[in-house]
Amino acid sequence: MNNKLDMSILIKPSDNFLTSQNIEFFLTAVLRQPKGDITLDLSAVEFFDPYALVMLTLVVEDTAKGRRISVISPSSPTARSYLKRIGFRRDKAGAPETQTFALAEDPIMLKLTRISATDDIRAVIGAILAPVKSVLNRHLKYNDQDAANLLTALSELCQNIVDHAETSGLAAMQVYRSGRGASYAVLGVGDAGIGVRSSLAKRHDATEWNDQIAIRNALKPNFSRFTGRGLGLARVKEIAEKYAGKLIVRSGSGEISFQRTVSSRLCAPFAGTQICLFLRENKKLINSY
Amino acid sequence: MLTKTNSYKPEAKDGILVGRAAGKNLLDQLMGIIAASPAGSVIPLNFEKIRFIDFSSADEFLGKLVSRLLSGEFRDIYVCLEKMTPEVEETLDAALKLRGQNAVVLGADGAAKILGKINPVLKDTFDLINDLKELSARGLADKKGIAINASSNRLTKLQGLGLIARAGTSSGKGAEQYVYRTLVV
Repeated sequence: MNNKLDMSILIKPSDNFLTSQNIEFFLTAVLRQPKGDITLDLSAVEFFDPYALVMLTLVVEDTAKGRRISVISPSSPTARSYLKRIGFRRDKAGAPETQTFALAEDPIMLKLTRISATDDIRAVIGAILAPVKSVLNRHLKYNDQDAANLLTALSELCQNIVDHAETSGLAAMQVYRSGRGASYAVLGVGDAGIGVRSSLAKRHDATEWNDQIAIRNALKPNFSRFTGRGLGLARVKEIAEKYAGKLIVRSGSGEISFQRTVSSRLCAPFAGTQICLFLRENKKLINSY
Repeated sequence: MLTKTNSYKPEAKDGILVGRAAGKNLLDQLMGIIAASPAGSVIPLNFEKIRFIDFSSADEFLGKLVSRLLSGEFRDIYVCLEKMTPEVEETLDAALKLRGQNAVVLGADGAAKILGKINPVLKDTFDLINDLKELSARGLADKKGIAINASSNRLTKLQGLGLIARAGTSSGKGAEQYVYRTLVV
């Protein structure tokens, strides 16, 4: 539903949650506005996941260039408190502010964190290595190896920002408990950089590729713009499979998701690459080795 | 004759290795040591100071190390991994598997095992050599009741993967034959 209010286009999600399941619908409404100020009405939203917050932040930062983005905060005190704790805040310029690192022993394992260089990744891993192991052990029944695998995935996805995006990006990570009592971890990493197809095109002939083809190629071992590399995303996919999880890779106008089967869809065009990794608790482990 | 050298101990700030540049730095350091080592050296890679290694670092360090050792660039130089936490070992194992490579790991009990994907037949041969310390193709053929050609193939394959050393010859039935040795020295 779009209303013109004081020359600002109001956009409101149709659900009371914003997660990897529905963030795309909301963002499409935002991205399809060619010009003019926008107000994002989050007043009815009660639940966010890290991937949705990363996407939201990237879109707001990107579309803010040349126009004003306002955000109406959630009415729910719990949701407002959550957004504050995970670091989704607005600064004076109107773009969301990001913070670094996690609270120890908190299901928010990593606040919304800016990633610009490998040193940022090393600092993040160093800060959250011990508390993440503790949180995952308690909530997902993960041992230290399992926790290290999730952190490996985080590190690899953040490293892709540094190596390929040609701009900075964002990462956030959290543990949840579903209404059915199952625990799971969600990791959101994204950037508004050059995207998968442009990155791979620096070494491969991508003239015939669309974004979905580019993403599928990026997940193949040894497929990279750099010689002798290209195994990192393949490793992240292995980790998703090992923990019976889900991996979503979105870039440009394409999205591929892997969860037992592979599915793909077209999206509203948006720069860069955004990835969601969803891992289940230990009773769902699959031994892939 | 195989000689165990001093250990090379990868180090990183806070014990955390992240990113390809970190892996490359370690590789460059180790390459200097390897270049200065005589043929027949077994260099232990001691990971006791590493709390976490991400996949990029693991691939850049170990994956490229194994590639260079197997390229023939350095004659008869071997490495074995030791003192890893289970999580470090799993990441190194994943890096080797995705490259189709292998490495020898020394356990705390001195037993050797193979990291990376290996077929059961080669693993069985590897375990036998580690038990006996050295073995010829004739010796393996006699123990396993297999043809000498098959025996020779298994040993050559393991040696080609950098998991055992070919060290000298022995006089058996007929011509001289190679003797293969465990890297556990």
